[in-house]
Amino acid sequence: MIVMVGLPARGKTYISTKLTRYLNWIGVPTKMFNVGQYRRQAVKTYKNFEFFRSDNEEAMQIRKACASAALKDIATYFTKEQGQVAVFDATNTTRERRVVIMSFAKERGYKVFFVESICDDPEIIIENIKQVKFGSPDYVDRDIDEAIDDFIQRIECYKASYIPIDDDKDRKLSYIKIFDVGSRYLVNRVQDHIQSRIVYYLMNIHVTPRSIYLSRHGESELNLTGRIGGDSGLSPRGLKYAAALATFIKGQNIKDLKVWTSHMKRTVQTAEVLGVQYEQWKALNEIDAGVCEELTYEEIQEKFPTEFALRDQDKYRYRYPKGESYEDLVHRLEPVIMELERQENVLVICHQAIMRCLLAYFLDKAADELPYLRCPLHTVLKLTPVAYGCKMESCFLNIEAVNTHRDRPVNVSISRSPEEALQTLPTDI
Amino acid sequence: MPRELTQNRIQKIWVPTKDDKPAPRRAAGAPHFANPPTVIVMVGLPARGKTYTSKKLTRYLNWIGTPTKVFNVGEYRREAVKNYSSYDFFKPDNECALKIRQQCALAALRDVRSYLKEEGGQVAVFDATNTTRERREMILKFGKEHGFKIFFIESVCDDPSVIASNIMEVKVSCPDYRDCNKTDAMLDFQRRIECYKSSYQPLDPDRHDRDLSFIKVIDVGRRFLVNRIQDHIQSKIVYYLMNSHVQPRTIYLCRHGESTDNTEGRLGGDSGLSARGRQFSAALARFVEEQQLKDLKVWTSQLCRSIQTAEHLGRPYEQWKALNEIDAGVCEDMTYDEMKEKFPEEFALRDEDKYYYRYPAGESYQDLVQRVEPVIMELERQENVLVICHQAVMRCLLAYFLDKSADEMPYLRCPLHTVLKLTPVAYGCKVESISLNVEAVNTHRDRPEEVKRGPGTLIRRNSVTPLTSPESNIKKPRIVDLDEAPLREIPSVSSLALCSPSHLPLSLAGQHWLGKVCLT
Repeated sequence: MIVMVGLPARGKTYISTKLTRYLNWIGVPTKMFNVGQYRRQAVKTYKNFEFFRSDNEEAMQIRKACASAALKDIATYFTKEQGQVAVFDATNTTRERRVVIMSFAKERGYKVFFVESICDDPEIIIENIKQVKFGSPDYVDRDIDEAIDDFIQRIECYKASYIPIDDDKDRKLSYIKIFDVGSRYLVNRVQDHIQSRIVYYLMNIHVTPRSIYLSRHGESELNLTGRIGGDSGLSPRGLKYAAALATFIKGQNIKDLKVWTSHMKRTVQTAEVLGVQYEQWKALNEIDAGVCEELTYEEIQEKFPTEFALRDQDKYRYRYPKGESYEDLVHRLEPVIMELERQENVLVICHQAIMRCLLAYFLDKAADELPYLRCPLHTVLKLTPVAYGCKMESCFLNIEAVNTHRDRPVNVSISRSPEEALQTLPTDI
Repeated sequence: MPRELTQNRIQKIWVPTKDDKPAPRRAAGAPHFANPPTVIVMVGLPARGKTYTSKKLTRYLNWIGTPTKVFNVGEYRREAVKNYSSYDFFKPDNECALKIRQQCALAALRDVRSYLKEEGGQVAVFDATNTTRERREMILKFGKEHGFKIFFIESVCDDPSVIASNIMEVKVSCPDYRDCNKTDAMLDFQRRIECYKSSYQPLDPDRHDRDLSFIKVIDVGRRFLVNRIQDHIQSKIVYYLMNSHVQPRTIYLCRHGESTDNTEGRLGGDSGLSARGRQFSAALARFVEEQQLKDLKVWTSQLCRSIQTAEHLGRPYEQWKALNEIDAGVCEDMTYDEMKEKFPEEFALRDEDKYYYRYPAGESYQDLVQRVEPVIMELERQENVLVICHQAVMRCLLAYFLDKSADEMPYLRCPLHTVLKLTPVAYGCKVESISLNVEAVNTHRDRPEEVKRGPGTLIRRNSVTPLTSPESNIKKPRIVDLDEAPLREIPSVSSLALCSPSHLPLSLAGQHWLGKVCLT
């Protein structure tokens, strides 16, 4: 159990959402339990901050009940839904509440890791309120100044009873304290691998506004012949795309853009046209199709019909013989994601399967959707973090290219006919 | 017009044709590391693990390809002051000793500057107590002057049993105490620590030092305070420090049992064990039992021969794809003779630069290091582990533990049916090689005699090139014969030159100097 701690507008839900997304992407089933949502269920309309006054007995009862309901659901998530990590997103600002959580966990043998966010910079607080509180269901009928005022009063209600995690009294607990949006961290008693990964992740994320551009290489010679994998160069249209990409990037007026490519010729060639410095990452290489490298789908159906069917049955986990799976890709890409979190403006020129993996991370797509995300050639995806998620803009740069997307066919059994197998083959231009 | 690309012959990396450097600027598949160079400054009372941490961190950074070197001020001091007599040297009121110590720090910083600016170094670890603000101010100024980033690592520990244990492990046997028995050494060292305590100003994250970048390691890793990480390399250093521990434990490395491919002299592939391979696996199971370890974790790759070996142990094991053998690309399943025949040029190139050489559509040792890094990180977290892997992978892991450079790594001996038992001890790793007495083919190929070395392939900025942690360039003090009358030894001017001679009165030369280093 990851237990968030902190006054309102300290980024707890932001961190919870992001951490949950990351853990799920690396394959650790994780779910967020936001007590505020339970409260909104229980109390259909929010009036004002008075609900949160510490002397409001009735409200206190409701809030306690909501916390208990959330904890109950956590237990269900662990025991019945194969969950591995639950993120308990609430203020949890009193020692009393934390004691309740600890005994709940102890009873059931769950590990507890606290994440406390501490921030006293009024500018940051106001900015947070504007970004996420204003749009919340609680303030749907208010204007912005009203919302800010009310929320600030709400925070005051918590302040009086707020007892931060005590480095001395709580020294036996496992926790990380995040100060001033990551300027400083205090880490105490990391118990295991997953807590260590969580700490590393939290220490690498930041909230500075920036954009991430994802694009595939320009159309390649092998793309034109409908073959997968290989290490061919760009086709004439691919080169045109590279030039269009250069123009597009210049037009975006991006400050300090980093450009990353794979080690494969087609991405390097694309970057070369940009005329800027770029970095090659082997981790960004396309999925290794093993024995199927440089075959067309028809050839794969002919030579390895069973493999072809198995792939359609579970495209995420399926590993090409002597090759890789999407699941392998995710592991391979994790350091890339970590570095993307550290960076600001980045353009990643990569490949179809790779781009699907990266996109799934940013847009929180599950493993079964990931291998079918649409990442066409000659299209730049611009991702900008906003509120709790990521805004995506798709820009097709108007240079024609073949379609390389193959949907899941209806019949995935190994006894299917070749026609059924090739039913969803991308149709060439 | 975009530049034409060619694939460089050894690394198989696409570079613009006109580029005549042996490797592109951003060669490896990893992000480029901290640019400008970084000085890591250790902070802490004696016996807090500063040198231990310095050496370990340096070994790790060199292994992942960041040229790093330790500058231990204590060694400079031992050069300057040939005979350590007692803790009196460290008394805060010992004026001339203070001058010497200051000069030693400056000499070390001069060498840091030279390493980072002229010798291709990227990270310098300044290993000294650095317990006063004054000293740290001086270092910060030094960093600012030369454009170096400064990152402090402070080790804070007040547990007397940890301190005593540290002193026993590394201090009583250090050159300062070569003439003392253990008890006297322990006593003197404890008094030495006291000398520092009164002037110790720990890093203050709330006020004085809030704008500095640092990590405070408290009680050997129970707690960490991390302030203002500036960049990628500092983030990795912090992650590494948080995963390291000092619990005694043992790491066993071995290869899978002999495989059928091995018997045919074939590379790579995914074949099963030969009969002798199965014999080895059974022998390995017995060996593991005999070791009587508490909680042994067993890791294998995802290749059949490694898993089959583990199966014989009758214990749970974890499969890591990252531990798979190096991918020989188009040469998979070939014998060396077949490779020589089909790809003679590739065969020659590999011998020319075996660390950087990437098989066509395959991997290089350089790629392996990157692939295997998460395994190393997890090994650091774990305690007793048996890793059943493959020749090239085992060489990578071994190079990390034994601080071997990229040049040596591909030629480390990792024969079949032999277990390497690694135990951390003092500042390094003890290695025992245990052959389990089951015959197997020899798969080791030595570096051929007539190999031409590639141009400047070893020192590559910003690429993953394990380097051995360089030896300090301070001459180690010669062991003085105990019978030799100390009075006869007169320090030459050159040894004092480390500490600027103008600061030391001439009367230091000669009899007064020796025996009693405290000279008030």
